[in-house]
Amino acid sequence: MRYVGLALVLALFAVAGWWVLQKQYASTDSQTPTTGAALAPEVETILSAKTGLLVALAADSEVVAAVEASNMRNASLSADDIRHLDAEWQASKTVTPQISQFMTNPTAKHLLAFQSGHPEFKEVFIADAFGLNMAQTDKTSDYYQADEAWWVNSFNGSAGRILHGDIEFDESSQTEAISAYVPVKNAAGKAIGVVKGVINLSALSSEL
Amino acid sequence: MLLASISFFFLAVAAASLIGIYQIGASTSVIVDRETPFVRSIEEALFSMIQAQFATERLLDLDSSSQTDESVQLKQTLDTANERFRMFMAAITWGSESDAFRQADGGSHVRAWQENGYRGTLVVQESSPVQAQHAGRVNIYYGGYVNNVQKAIEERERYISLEPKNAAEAEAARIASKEFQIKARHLADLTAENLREMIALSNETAAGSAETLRATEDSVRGSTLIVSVIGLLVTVAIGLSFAEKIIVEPVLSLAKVAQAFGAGKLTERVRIETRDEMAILGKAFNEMADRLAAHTTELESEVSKRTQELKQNFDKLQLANDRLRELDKAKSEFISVAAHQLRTPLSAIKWILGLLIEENAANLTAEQKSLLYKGFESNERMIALINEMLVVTRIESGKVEYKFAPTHIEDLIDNILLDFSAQAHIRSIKLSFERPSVGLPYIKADPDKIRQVLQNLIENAMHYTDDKATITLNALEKGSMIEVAVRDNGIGIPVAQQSSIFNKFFRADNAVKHQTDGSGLGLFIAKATVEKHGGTIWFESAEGKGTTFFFTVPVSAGDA
Repeated sequence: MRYVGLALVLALFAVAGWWVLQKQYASTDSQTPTTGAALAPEVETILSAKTGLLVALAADSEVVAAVEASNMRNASLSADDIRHLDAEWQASKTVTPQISQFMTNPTAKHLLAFQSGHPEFKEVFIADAFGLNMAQTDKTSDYYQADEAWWVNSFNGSAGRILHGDIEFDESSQTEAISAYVPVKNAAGKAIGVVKGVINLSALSSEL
Repeated sequence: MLLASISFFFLAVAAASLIGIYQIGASTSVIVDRETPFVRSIEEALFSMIQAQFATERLLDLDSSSQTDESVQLKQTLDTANERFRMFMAAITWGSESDAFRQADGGSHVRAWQENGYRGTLVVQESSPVQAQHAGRVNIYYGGYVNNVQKAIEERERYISLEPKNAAEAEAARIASKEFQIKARHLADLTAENLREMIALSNETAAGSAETLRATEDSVRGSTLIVSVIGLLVTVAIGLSFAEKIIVEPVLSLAKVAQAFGAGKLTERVRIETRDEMAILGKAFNEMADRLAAHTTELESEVSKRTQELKQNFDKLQLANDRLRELDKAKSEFISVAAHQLRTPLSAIKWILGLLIEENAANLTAEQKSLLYKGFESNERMIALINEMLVVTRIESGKVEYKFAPTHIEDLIDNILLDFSAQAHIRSIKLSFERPSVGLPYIKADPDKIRQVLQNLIENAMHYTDDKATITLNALEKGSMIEVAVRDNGIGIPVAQQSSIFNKFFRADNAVKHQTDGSGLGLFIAKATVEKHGGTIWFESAEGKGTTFFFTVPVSAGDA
C-alpha cells in the first residue's frame, strides 16, 4: 500500500512539474507592441514625387533595353550558379571585377547621371527579372535580390507594383532613408526588372 | 525510477525558476535599462521642441530688427533647442553608446551629450524597429519644421526690412512668413504627435514588462509553493519509507526475537543485515542473549540440583512430620486415657475430702481444716485441668459436638456476670456490661460453648488484674456478626509473647509471675470454639496497661 502511495506522490510530482514548466513558457510572450502609422500626407506627396522620378528612369528606353539584355544573359544561369555567384559577392570585402562591372556599365553611368541630378537619391540600382543586379551606383551587400520582400512585392509576379518601404537606417552612411521600388516594364507592360532608389530623409525634410 | 522521477521534477522546477528569474531580469531590464531612459530622452526632445517653438513664436512676434539683443538671444535659444532635439533624437534612434551616435553630425551629438553631463548618467538603447519608424517620421517632420521656421524667420526679416520702403513686397513677405509659420506649427504638431506616440508605445512596453514581471513573480511564487509542498510530501513519503525499512523493520525484528527469547526460546537471535546503529544494537542484543542463555542454563542446572536436595529434605521432613503426628496422636491418646484414669480417683478424692470437711468440721482443728481445704482446692484444680485437657483432646480429634441454636448474648453475659459478681465484690473489682442502646439480635451459637469462652476470658481478666481493677464487657452488632469485647486494665501481655498467646499450655512470663496457677489451655479452647462458630478472636494489649479480647459470633439467620 505504501508503494502505491509513493507512486501517486511521484506522479503528482511529474504532473506538477510539467504544469509549472508549461505556465512559465506560456508567460514568455512578446512584450513589444506593433504599430503601422502612415506618413503624413505632405511627406507622402514628396515621396510620391521622388518615386515619380524613378518611374521616369525605369521607363527610359536605354534602361529597358539593358534590363532585357541582362535577362537574356542570365536566363542560362542555374539556381546553383546564382547561389554560387551570390555567395562570392557577399564574401567579397572589396569591389571585385564581378561587382565592378555592374557599377561601370553604361546603365550604371546612366544611374550615376540620374543621381547627380537628384542628389536626394543616395543609392540607385536595378535588378533584372531574375533578381540579379544589372546596374548600380554603389556596392550592394548581395547580388541576388529575388529573395528580398521588396523585389518580390515590386516585381509582383511580372505585373509590377510601385511602392516604398519603411524608414531605414543606413549603417554605412549613418543616415536615415526611405527606399522606393519601381518596376521596369517592357513594351507589353510586363515587369522585367525592378529599380530601387534609396532616398535620404533629410531630402524629404528639406522639401516639407 | 524513483530517483529519475524526483530528478525530473526538480530539474523541471529549477528550469522553470531559472526561466522565471531570467524573465524577471529581462522585464526589469526592459523597464529600468530601456524604457525609462528612452521615455526621458523623448521628453527631453519634446521639451527642446517646445523651447524652439517658444523662441520661434517670440522671434516672429518681434517688430524690431533681427539684430537686437532679444532677437539674437532668441535665435541662440532656437539653435540650442534644435541641436538638443537632434541630439536626443540621434540617441533615441541609434543608442547613446553606439558608434553611429558618436560619429553622426561630425561628432557634435556626442560632444553635446558629454557637455550636458549625460555621458554615463543617461544610457539610451537604440530603438526597436517600431520605435525607429516613429523616430524616422519625427526626424522628417522636425526637419520640415526647422526648414519652415527658418523660412518664416527669413521672410519675417525681409518684411521688417522692406516695410518702410516697399509695402507691397513687405506684405507679401509677411504673408509668406505667416504661411511658413503655419506650416511649421503643423509640422511641429506632427512631430509632437509622433513623440507622444513613442512615449505611449514605451509606456505600453514598460507596462507589459511590469505585467510580465508580476505574472512571473506569481508564477515563481506558485512554483516555489508547489515545490515546497510536494517536496515536503515526497520527503515525508520517502522518509517514512526509509524509516520503515531502516528503523521500524529492524526494531520489529528485534522485538519479535526478544519476545520469543522471553518466552523461553533461548536459541532465537536477531538478524540485521545493515551496517548502521541498528546492526550494532542487534549485535549487542545477540551477545546479551548468548550470555543470558548460558546463565539460564547454569541456573536451571543449579535449580534442578537444589530442587533435588529440597525434595530429599522435604521427604525427610515429611517422615519426621508423620512421626511427630504419630507422637502427638499417641500423646493425645495418652493424655485422654490418663485424664480419664485420673479423673475417677480425683473425683473420689474430692468426694472423700468433701465428706471429711462436712462431717468432721466440729472435730477438726483449725490447722486440720485448713489443710483439708487446701487439699480439696488442689484436687479441684487437678480435676479442672484434666477436664480442660480432655476438652483439648476432643477438640484436636474433632470429637466436640456443637448444638447451635439462636442464643441471646445479652442474657448470656448477664448470667455470667452474676456468677462472677461475688468474686468481683470480694476483690473490689468493678465488673460491668455496657449494654448497647438498641437490643442485639440473636446469635447462632452453642450457648454452653460460648458461655465457656466468656468464662475463660473473664477468668483471665480477673486473674491478671489487681484488686479494685475494672473489667468491662460490651457487645455490638457489626454487619452479620456480633462483636463481644472483654476489657481489663491489668498486667497486659508483653509484645514479644503476643504471637503465642493462643498456643496450648502457653502462659506469658508476666502472667506466670502474677498468677502461678493456670493451665495455659483456656485461650486455645476459646479460639477453637469461636472459630468453630464461624467467628474470629483477637486482642489488643499493652504491658502494664491492660488487655481487651474481642470475638465475633454470627447473627442467627432468622435475625440477620
